[in-house]
Formats: sequence, C-alpha cells, structure tokens
Amino acid sequence: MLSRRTVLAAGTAAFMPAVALAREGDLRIVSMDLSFTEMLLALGARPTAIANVPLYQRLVSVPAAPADAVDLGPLTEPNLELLQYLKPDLILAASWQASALAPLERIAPVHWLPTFARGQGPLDFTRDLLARIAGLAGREAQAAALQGEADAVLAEAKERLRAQAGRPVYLLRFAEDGRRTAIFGGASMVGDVLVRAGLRNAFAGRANIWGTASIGIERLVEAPEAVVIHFERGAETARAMRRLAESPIWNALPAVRAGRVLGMPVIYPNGGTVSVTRFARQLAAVLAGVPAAHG
Amino acid sequence: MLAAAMAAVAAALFWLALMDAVPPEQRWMALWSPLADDLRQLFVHYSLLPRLIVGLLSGAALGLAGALFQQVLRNPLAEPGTLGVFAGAKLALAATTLWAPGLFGYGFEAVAVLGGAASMALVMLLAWRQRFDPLALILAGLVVTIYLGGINAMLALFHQEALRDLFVWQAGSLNQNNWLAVRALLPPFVVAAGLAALLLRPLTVLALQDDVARAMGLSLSLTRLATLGLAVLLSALVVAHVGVVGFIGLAGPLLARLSGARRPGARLVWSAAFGALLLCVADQGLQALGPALDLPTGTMTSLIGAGLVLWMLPRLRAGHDPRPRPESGSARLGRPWLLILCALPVLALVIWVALSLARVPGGWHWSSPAELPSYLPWRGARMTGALAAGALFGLAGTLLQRLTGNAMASPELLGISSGAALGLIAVVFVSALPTTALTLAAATSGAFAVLALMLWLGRRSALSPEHVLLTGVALSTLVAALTATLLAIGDPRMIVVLNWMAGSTYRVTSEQALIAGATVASLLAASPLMARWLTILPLGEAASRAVGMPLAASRLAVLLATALATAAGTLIVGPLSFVGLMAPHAVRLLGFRQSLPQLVAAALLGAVLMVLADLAGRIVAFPWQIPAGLVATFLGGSYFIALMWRQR
Repeated sequence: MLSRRTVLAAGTAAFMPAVALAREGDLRIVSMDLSFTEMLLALGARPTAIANVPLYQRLVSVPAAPADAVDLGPLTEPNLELLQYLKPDLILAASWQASALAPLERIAPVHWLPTFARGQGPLDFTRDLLARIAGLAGREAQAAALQGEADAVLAEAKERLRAQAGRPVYLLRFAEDGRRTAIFGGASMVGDVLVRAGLRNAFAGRANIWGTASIGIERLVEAPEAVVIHFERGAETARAMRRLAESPIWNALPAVRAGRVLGMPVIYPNGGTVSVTRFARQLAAVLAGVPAAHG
Repeated sequence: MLAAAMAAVAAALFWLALMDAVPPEQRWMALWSPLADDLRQLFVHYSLLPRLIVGLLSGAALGLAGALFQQVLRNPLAEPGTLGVFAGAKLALAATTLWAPGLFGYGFEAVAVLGGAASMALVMLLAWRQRFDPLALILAGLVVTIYLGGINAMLALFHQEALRDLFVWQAGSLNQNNWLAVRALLPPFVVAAGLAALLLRPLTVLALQDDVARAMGLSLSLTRLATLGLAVLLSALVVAHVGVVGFIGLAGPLLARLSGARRPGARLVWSAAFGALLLCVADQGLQALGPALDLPTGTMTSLIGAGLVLWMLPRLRAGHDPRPRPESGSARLGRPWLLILCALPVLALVIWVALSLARVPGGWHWSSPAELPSYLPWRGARMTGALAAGALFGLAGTLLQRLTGNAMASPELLGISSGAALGLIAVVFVSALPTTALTLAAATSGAFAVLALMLWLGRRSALSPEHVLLTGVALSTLVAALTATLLAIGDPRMIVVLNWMAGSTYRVTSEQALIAGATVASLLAASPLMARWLTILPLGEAASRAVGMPLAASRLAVLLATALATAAGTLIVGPLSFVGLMAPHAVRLLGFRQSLPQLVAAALLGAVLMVLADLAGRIVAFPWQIPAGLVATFLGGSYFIALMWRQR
C-alpha cells in the first residue's frame, strides 16, 4: 500500500513518514489508555502508538513515553485513520471506550480491558491486569519481576509504617483556589495501597468509579486526627497553599498545627504496577519522618 | 410576603445546618466568637456563616446587576448570563489558567472583570445597529455566549485535565473556609449600591423614551455606560468568587416586578433582595440535602431559573411585530437558479478533496481513487454526515430567519438542539454505557419534547417569534449549566457527550449519515409547498393577515420543518455551529431574495461550509481532531461579528 501512495503537497516526497517502528519481530502494540501504556512501557514492550501522549506525561510520567511513540490524539477520539496507517498487530483499549471505538476492530485485533476494579480491590485488579497485558505482549517474566518488586516494596512500606498502623490519612490534591480538593477514596489505587500499608483512609464519602471526589476544604474537619498527604503540582500547589494559609479552618486543623501536612510527587491515582511501587515508596518515606500516632 | 417566606425557609435551613454542626449551648459562641481549637465551632464560624453571607451577597449583586441591565436596556430578559458577561469572564479565567496562571497570584477578580466587560462590549457592538432592540440584544448575547462557549469547549477538549479544578468552581460553588470572599465582595457591593442610588434619577428618566430623556438634558450615553459598567463589575466579581450562578439576575428582578415593585428605586432594592434570597434558599437547600447530592449551586439555580423563564413566557406580552428589515447587500440576483447550478461543481470538488486529503506523520497524503476504498470507512460517513448536517442547518436557518423576520435567528437559538443535548445528557446519567441506538433515540425525543413544549407555550401567542426564541435562551442556558457540571465531574464517559456537544463527527455512522441525507432530500422536496408562506411571513403579522394567510397554521408548518432539520443536523454535529446563521445570511447578501432559491442556495452553502469545517478539523491539529461543529462555530461566529462590525 505504501508504495502506491501518491503524495501531494509541494510536490516532494521528502516528508513521507519517518515513524520509528519497533524492532523487527516485536508485536506492534497500541495502547488506548494511560494505565495500559504505563504497564506496556514497564514491561519493556514499547507501544508503537499511544493515545494522548501529553496527558500520559502529565499524569503518569514514569516510565517516560519514548520520544518516537506516535501520539494518536485524545483517549476518546484517537485518530483511527492514522492507526490504520501504522498497521498495528494488537490494540489494547479500555472497556469504557468499547461503545465509542468499536471500529477499532477493523484495524487489528482489539482487547477490551477494564480500567476500574468492580468487586475486587484496586491492587488485585492491577495485578490481574498486569498479568493479562504481559500475556498479550509475551512478557510474563518481566511481569513477574515487576509484580514481585511491587509486593516487596509494599511489604517493606508496611513494615516501616508499623508504628503508624491504623493511622487515618487524607490523600488528596489541592485545587488552585484553595477551597476545594480532589480527594482519593478506597476505590482508587492509591487508596488501596494506603490500606495495604496498614493505614486508614480518612475519607469515606461518596466518590466516582475511580474513587475520586471533589470536596470543600472545610470537610477535612471530619477527621481531625488525620495526616494530610497531598500531591505536589509545583506553582499550582504553591498558590493553593498560599490561599489555604489565609483560612482559619485550615490553620486550625490539627494536621496543619502539628505539621502533619505532607507533600509528595504526583502519582497517577489509578496507575499501574509502577505507580503502585512508587506510591508505596513515597508513602513510607514521607510518613517515616512523622512522630508515631497520636497518644 | 414571598420575600418573607423565602427568608424564613433560608433561615430555617441555616438553623438546621447549625444544629447539626454544634451542640445547642455553643451556637452563639460558634457563630460569633468560636474557640480557636474547637473545629466544629470554627466550621460554623468560618464555613457555614460566610457561605450564608456569600450566598446573600452574590445573590444581591446578581439581582442588582440584573435590575440595572434591565432598567438601562429596557429589556426584561437582560442579565449577566443572557448578555454574555458570564461567558466572557469564564473564558478569560480558563485562558489565564492555561497560559498565564501567574496572574492569579493577584486574585481572580481582574481577569474575570476584564473578560466579562470585553464580551459585554462585543454584545453591545452587535446590537448597536438595531438600536439595542431588546430581542436583538438578547440574540447577540446568545451568539456571543455560544461563540465564547465554543472556544471554552475547545480548551476543555485539549486541556480537560488542566482545567478541571476551574470547571469545578466555575459551575457555581459556594464553599467557603474563611471570610475572604465576604470581605472581597462586601465593599464593592456597598459602593455599587451607593452608585446605583446616585444613578437612580437618571435611570428613572431613562425608562422613558430616548427623545424625552434627551429633552430633559440627560447625557444618555454616559448614564448608560456608567450603569452598564457597574452591572458588569458586579456580575464579574461574583464569577471571580463563586463562579457562574445562572438566572439569579433574571429571577430577582422578575420576582420584584411580580411582587409589585414599580418605581425604579423600589425595583433595584427588591431585585437585590430577591436575588439574595433565591440564591440563599437554593444553596442552603443543597447543603441540607447533604454531600450525597454534591451538585454545584450554579447548576441548581440554572435548573430553577430555566423553569422560571419557561413558566413566565406565556405571561409576557406577545411583544411587538418584528419590523421588516431593509434589505442590505448587493443587488437582487437576476437568475438565482443559474448560480446554484454553477455552485454544484464547487460542492463536488470540496467533497472530492475532503475524501482524498489527509495528513500522515511528517507530511501530507493524497489518496488516489484506487486506494480511496480503504479510507472510506474513516472519511465517508463523517463527510456525508457533515454535508447533510450543513445542508440541514442551512435549511433550518433560512426557515427560521424567514419565520421571525430576523436575520440574526438561527437554529441553535431555537432550543431544539439544546433539547437534543438534554436528551443525550439524561441517557448518559441513567445508563453507564449507552448504546448508539439509545443515544439516538434520546436525542431525538429531547428535540421533539422541546418542540412540543414550544408549541404548547406558544399556543396563545400564535407562536410569536419572541416566545420561540426565548424558549431557546432558557434551554441553552440550562444546557450550558449541565455541561459545566459534566466537566466538573470529569468522568471520561462524559467526555463522549462533551465531544458530541462540541460538534464532533468522529462517531457518525453511515446509517446516521444516510438518515440525515434523506431528511435533506425530503425537506428540499417539500420546500416548494412552503415558498409562498416564506415570502410573506417576514413582512410581519399584519401583512400576513392582510393577504389572508393562516398565520398559526403556516407558522406551525414552518416550525415543524425547522425542528426536523435542526434535530437531524444536531444529531450529527451537535448543538453548536453557526452554519444555520451564516449560510442563509451570506446567501441573501449574495442576492438570493426569493424564498425558494434562498433555501436551496443556503442548503448548498451550508453543506460546503460544514464539509470544509470537518476537513479542517481533521487536518489542522493532526493527529488530534477539532470537532467540525467547533470549527464551524469559529467560522460562523467570526463571520457574524465581522459583518456586524462592518455594518455598524
């Protein structure tokens, strides 16, 4: 097909695609969702094309997306024409995309994988998902190693946090206006890691299927004894903290008075195995410095 | 009486919240001088109480702003939302978040005020030529709101994640955790109220006709400008602190008028009072429902407000007969059909390019006829869909402009497309993974429900154009509020709806395209039957009656055809797009004056525009795609604004 292409534009053929293709013999896999992308990259199965590279870099960022991976555009409207042109062998798409992206089936075999845990804990869900993706990509050994590392880091985190066991923790990200936060409940991956590390999630309110909710700062008074752990987003978080500093409610929170407000680098709250490992490490590190649970 | 009842409800709800928060003996202490280490008392003093007061202040500011707008523009429907102030402030805040977030270090006010003032100025500019005719002004406001809303939607598509926090509070969220918002809102409100009192006498005179006022030695433009500036300032300040709170500026003055406030002074005071009470009741009510229903307060007020407007529609007097507009533009065409014939090859060329041209990584690609079949699955249906939708909007726009005798009318403004959008939103809320058939059915029934509502509401006024268009205003504001809520929730399944609302042809199936095409064909076939009505309707009611035309029946027929065209087109490219406004207008400027050639030519031009918009959307941001409806909104909005500028 390529050879028959008639090329328009300025009458040259010099700009024909310079898409870096994966190594000979590798499956040409395409990822349509952030957590699949993370897992593929962690397994060393470099995806040929990725939906929404900028979003992946902003939210997940580790492992970094290869510079030569083709961006397919938004998660909801990946460029199918471009995808057909890339001739992939295998497509990993999220089950929530199934109704909208049914035409993917015309391009290559599609595996519709779930992106949120239903009836099982997020970590068990992540474990199953990694195994499935590894099976599809033929990278079972790498998956075992990754999972082993995650389990070990989690166990180690629990050990290190033994003195803090049962401690309530708010896990959140401050909105710029200093009035609201995006808070993560038990249905999110980070919420589950928190519990598995022996801590208690102080937020038990209603959240969406990914375990995220948007609440006002004033609701943090509901669990006064909690530690507040938040994801740092640079200047945006700095502005939020400046606004918060002007709030008497915020300043009166025991967590604030006792210096139990802890920032950590952003983790995608519903990321894959690498995110689990990173979060468990950061959690142990950030809480290790806090005096053991209140008397 | 009403005011007292509302105040009682608000006070009772606040009392409930207070009882819930602290033990009885601590109430007064919690309210006025909380213990520094008692979190529950602090919560009462720094969250419950300021939220109550911010609600009262914002409501009063919006009510006062609405009353000022209405007084100076002599327009019962003027308020920050309908005049485009909200849309401008919102867009300014979103753009600043993305490209100059450092500016927020100085607070949100300046950005919101500048944005609101700019878009309000644009609206005034557009309505200038029609001497701020109330309907023209509201239409201009709606056009600007849709235009800026389109840009906002585009930013949302590309930066959904970065803008989510902004959308959360822009949906109208009154949460407080200190007294800063009160302290920031109170002084400007007091000053503004004082200025409004100073403006009272000139405003009273302004309520008279222009020449009377001028005869009394009043500087009309200065008074107008000062009042408008004041009202814009008040509304943008509210946006900067609590986000967009729809319809309070409309409902406050309305309730004031219904309760018998006649003189301008009384009207301003009572508008502010009712605005304050309304917002307060809505907000306290939401809080009483608890965290289970964590809807933004702005969504709540828009829901109430849209209902209120629809309810008051039959009570509004049926307005004046639209004046026949002096025809402008080039001379009347001698042989319109010949030009239409000549345009057909252009359409064919556009179709060919749209099917063959594409971008690939690093360059361009032109598909030869031999390889077209492999690309047709990706380009065929959306191209056909865009073609049909463009033609449908061209038809709908022509019908509507002829029906109302207003060159600014367009199908978006009819509310039919908003009805389709509401149907789709409802289905996504109810079903987790709706099927294509279900969404199609929901959108269609939404569109027809609006039509039915409109027919029922308009039955007494013989479907007067004002009523029909006001239904559109109410519904599109409601849709905008719901969209803001969807954005705030941030569920990816909602993005499917948002993409459709932005006018994406990505998901158009060949069946959908064929249905739309068949609708075009049948409407074109039926158009000769409507030709005579369409010639006479723009001349106004009196003229129509004079030639013995059945006014209600002919309006009903034209309206049905418009609704059908709008619904079918909206299903393909969403509720936005100014093709229905642009195509008929441009065609008339080209000299198509007779109704039948104008219909056909507008359909043709609409089709060409939409196919080009779809092609551009596919190519410009490759591999990302800009929805065709958004591209068309830009094209149409810019065309419209440029046109107004030139003819000013």
